[in-house]
Amino acid sequence: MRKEAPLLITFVVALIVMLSQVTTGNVPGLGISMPVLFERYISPWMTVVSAFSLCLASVNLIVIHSRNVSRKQPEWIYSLILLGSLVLYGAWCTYVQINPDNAAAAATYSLLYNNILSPLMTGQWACLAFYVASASYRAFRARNLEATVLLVSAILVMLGATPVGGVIWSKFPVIQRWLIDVPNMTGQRALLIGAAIGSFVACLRTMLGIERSHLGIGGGS
Amino acid sequence: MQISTNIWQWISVACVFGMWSLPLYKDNPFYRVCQNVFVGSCAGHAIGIAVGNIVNYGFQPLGQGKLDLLIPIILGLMLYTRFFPGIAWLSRWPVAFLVGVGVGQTIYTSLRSQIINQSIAAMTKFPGQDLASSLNGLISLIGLLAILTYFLFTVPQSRFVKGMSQLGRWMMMVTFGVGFGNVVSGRLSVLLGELLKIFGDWLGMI
Repeated sequence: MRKEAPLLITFVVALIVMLSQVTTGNVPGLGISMPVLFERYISPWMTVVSAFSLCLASVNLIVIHSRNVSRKQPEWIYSLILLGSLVLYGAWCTYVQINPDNAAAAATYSLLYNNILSPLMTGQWACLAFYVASASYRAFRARNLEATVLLVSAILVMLGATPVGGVIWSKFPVIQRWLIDVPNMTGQRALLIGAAIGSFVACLRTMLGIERSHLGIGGGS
Repeated sequence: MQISTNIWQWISVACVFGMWSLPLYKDNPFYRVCQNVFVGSCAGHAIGIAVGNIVNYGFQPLGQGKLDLLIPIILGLMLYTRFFPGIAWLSRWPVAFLVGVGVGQTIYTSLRSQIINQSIAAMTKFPGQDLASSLNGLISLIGLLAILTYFLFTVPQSRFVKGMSQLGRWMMMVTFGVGFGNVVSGRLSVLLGELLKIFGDWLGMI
């Protein structure tokens, strides 16, 4: 029961989801087709269960940082700041979600989102621009032919993407477009196919119960 | 120069400077505060959305008579049994459900849209309508086969296979180079956008 039931749930749900995309006829005995079964039951259930799982992740975060604060562990003040912002945003966002008609609350939350969370997010993203400089130095050392190919294609793409590239030579944007559309697309496609074959095999193993590590009951490799 | 008097503008710029203080200076309390506010507010936002989904797509329709929604609500609550060692095994059921949905969708989409459709897209471009598009189609087809050959480990490495896999490596290097160039351009444009906000909206210099 403890091991078999989860494996059975995975198999049956995966089978329904899979068949809902390839079959149209009614399931014998149920009087309902697989796509309808998926749309009416599995999809809304998935939304609710995944929402519960998202809250679970936050519960773990709250437990860890509450422990830091209550035990006054080193740098506990940062845990307190984290918990404070979590409670503020969590409570406000929940209120806005549950009361969509309250425009004033939604507007205040937008103010919090656009002026604190959003700048923090873009600031973090822009931080990577500073690190890119050092990464470029390491990547752009033409030690062999392959590294040179990487270096040349990256430089051509950057020159084509910036206005100054077009000023230096009008063909840079054309070369950049070709590099993105032909060799890059080919590489992306091949890597996508390789990754898809891998994920297909991994999913098949999971569906058939050969891979069980996600349930914490062993049996996987 | 006309500095903004909007308090939210100042808070927004302070958040950006807080994040930038790590690469521009070093680890410091200002950065740590911003970092923890960032993590906390992201988690809080996610909780808000999740609770909203539970109420709007779970409890409200349940109250309107959609009794089948009791199943996902019970499954969702079962996730929390992992905090009680005696019944922790019950949390496997909702995990099995979530994994089942993901697996079912991935099996189909990886086969249909990623393996079959991508292979078709690579093959149907050759021959093209003119010489240039035919050449591009040929490069796409041979390049795809070359990269896939690089990942073939179950065939003897004959001269042909070695040559193809070498070609595949070069094609991948071009792909990685293009990817790197795009990342650099993208990050720099985000940085420029932030600088535009600082010098334009906040300091009023632009």
